Amino acid sequence: MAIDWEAEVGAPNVAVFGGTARYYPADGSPAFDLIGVADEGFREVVIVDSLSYTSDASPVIGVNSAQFALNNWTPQQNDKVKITDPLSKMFGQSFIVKEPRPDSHGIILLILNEYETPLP
Amino acid sequence: MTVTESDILTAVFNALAKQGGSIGQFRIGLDAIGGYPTIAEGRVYMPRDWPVQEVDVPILKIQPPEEDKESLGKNGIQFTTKLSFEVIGEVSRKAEEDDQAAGKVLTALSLFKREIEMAVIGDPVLFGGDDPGLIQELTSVRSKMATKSDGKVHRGAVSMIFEMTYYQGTEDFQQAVVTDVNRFHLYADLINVDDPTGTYVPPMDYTPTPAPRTMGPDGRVEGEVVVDVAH
Repeated sequence: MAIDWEAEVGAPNVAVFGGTARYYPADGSPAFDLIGVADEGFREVVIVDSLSYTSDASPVIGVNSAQFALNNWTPQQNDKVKITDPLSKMFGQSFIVKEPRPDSHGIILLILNEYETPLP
Repeated sequence: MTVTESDILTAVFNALAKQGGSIGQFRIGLDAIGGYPTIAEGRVYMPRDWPVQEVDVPILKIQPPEEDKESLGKNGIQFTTKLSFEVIGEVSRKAEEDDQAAGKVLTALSLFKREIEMAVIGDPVLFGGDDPGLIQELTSVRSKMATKSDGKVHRGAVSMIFEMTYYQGTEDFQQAVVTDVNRFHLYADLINVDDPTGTYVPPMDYTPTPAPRTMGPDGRVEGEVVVDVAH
């Protein structure tokens, strides 16, 4: 039996564990709100071979694709997102999408970098 | 003069630790600070084995050196000593549209690299100004830059490997035990005899010609000079 993974697993997970974020499409289309699971855990970055590494974080947000379809948008590089969930440790931070990584089951993981200009 | 690795590394550290406005800020303060500053503004570590955090940059890390002594031949202890060490400068920048920040990181690294070159190669202690420097030859400088956006922001680093050459010989390894010389006292007791019969006690341990004598020394000094060389 075929399973609609997004409807059965992805969307409920995002609904339970996600928080609000405001999404700014790269082409300047109107911004919209969505629910996504945002994380920025520790990450070690090695720039050049060296005695010491660089400690950094890896901000990401996971969103189910139906929320983008609803707004006629496919996530791409240069999109921006601001975390608007006050309970999130990332609240108020502005990011730019470096790489969208769809999992082919309806969840898109957006790899983020911190954006230089704070979003409204 | 015996040159040690630690003298050189200390000089490199001092050269890179200068503060006071850099090329990155379009100011150069050579006269005021006796050297060339960099955007690291004194954040220089030797070495650094803790991770670098974003709050730490711009930063300079001097990595532990590598050394290679090469013999000059089979007739004694003489070496051409090659000392190389890596200086790593790191910067960071928040992201912009179309990955423009990566290019800005590279621009910042180019300026940083130029500052490191001026600070190290232009340093009079290392390579000489009015006085000769510690190092006879800077044989090569290999540089590379890299940027990464794996983390939250763009991080960039410039790595520069300086290779220096200097001479080391027997005198660097078998050093004479010396006492500080503060004063010379020169006595002259002439062979052209002044007193053929008298008996004198000389001012230091030597044996005068016994009386009666037809030639000196008679044990009585004809003149003396004191040369004070204390610092």
